[in-house]
Amino acid sequence: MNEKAWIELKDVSIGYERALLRPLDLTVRQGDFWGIVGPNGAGKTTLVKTVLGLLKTVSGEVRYPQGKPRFGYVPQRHLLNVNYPLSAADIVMMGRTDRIPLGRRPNAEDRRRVREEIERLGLTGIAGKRFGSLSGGQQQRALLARALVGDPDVLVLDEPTTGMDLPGETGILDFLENHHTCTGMTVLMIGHHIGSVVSVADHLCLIHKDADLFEAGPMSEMLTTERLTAAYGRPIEIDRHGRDVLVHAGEANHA
Amino acid sequence: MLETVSFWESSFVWRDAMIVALIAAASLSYLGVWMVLRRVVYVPLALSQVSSAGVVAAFLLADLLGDSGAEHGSGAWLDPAWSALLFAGLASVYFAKARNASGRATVVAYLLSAAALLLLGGFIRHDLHDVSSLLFGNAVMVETVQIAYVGAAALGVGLLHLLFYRRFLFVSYDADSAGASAVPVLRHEILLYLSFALMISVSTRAIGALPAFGFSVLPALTGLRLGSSMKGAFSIAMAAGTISAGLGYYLSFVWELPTGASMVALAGAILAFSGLVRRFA
Repeated sequence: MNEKAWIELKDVSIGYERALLRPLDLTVRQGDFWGIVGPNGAGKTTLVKTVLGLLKTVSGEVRYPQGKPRFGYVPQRHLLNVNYPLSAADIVMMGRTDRIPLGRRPNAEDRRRVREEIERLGLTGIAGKRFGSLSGGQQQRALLARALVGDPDVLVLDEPTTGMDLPGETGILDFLENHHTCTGMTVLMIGHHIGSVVSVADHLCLIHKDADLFEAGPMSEMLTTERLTAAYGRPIEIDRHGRDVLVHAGEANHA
Repeated sequence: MLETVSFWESSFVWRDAMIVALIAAASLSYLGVWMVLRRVVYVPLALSQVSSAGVVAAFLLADLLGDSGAEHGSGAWLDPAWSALLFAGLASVYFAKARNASGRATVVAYLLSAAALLLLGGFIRHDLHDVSSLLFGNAVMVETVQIAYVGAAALGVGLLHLLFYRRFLFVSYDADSAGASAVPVLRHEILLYLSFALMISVSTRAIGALPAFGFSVLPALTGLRLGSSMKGAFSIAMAAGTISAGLGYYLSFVWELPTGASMVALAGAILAFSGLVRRFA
């Protein structure tokens, strides 16, 4: 908790013109790994877009105490138009756009960083292939490489493992965990499956606009049956086996 | 062979029109790739209608203020060409701001400007033929000055895209990620739409609404069908557009067909042929 805050929300209402939830507080510190979970349509993406500055707040303001950080954003893959005739390498190079002066081609440093991220994410053999022809997992790794190639301070991912098979999901999560451990990069990740989020994050944010619920804090405090049950509106059970945590839907109480 | 000789011998008749058509076709085919990829293919139609409303508004204002210069299209208190550009420019800002609702914005702009054209057109005192030629151009015969107008617009659009290509690509492909990476999204959306507005407005006035709309869509579809990269798609689209314009003009001349329709039909035939190439390649 001694690290400096990157992002602060105090009494901030998020939403599209109308507030989704009661005003919320959230402080993201340097080196935190936040998992953001909640049911579909809970307001997770709205929260993240507000943090990124893509959406205006309904009330209150998002503060960046150290100046606005450089963000690397991985959007939901299925929202992208695969008809663009772009290779995986073209997609990764997009992450350097704001560093390339107007009217200029990418310089040696831009190309080096793109090669580096392509190698790190295991895309070397498919970098020249059309993005739309890649598997979901390969597309996701290309988008992750694009987010990282701009050398961001904060990495933000919106459901990076949705629609992926188990090896693909595990590969992405292992990469993120290792990257966070090695670089100390701040990460905000919206998770589709709470089980995958709790395996890598150290902070958890529970959000559910229909229940007017927003809770955020260290994983150890947040990961309780009561809190998760309130967030998902159905019984959730937590099994702990040493360092491993298994979260699953429990039996519905029909009494 | 007789027709061919006749065609070349009468080059003084078609030279200016051909040059204008080739420049407009190449530029609109390039911009069309952006429009098709962004799924805003009705934008050229709406921009052409909005710029027409601008022309009518200029005539009407000139009538109201007793300024007769507008009928010549120059030296007027409010030149119809500038008015068309102003209206198209304002519409492009509206489309850019609408972003996710740009389809709805396009339809609203098209309908309102079409209604304005019909309602206000009746109050103009100028000869209907003068107004029509300013509104919809004529691909067969163009004034030499149109080479300068269309050429300058194409040059401006080309320079703008050379400077901002990478930012236009990022913003078009994934606006949220571009915004998160500190690329100003709205500013670049407006610039991109302004480039559409400039080229469509000037081209509609020079070669007519049908070819301008046709060159904005059909060659781009060919380019995207056959091109394996953005560069490839742009090159193929521009080649398909210029072939449609040049050969379309020639065929319309020797077979005495409507020129604009011949160009668009040829662009459609090239698109159909590209489907065969794609299937058997």
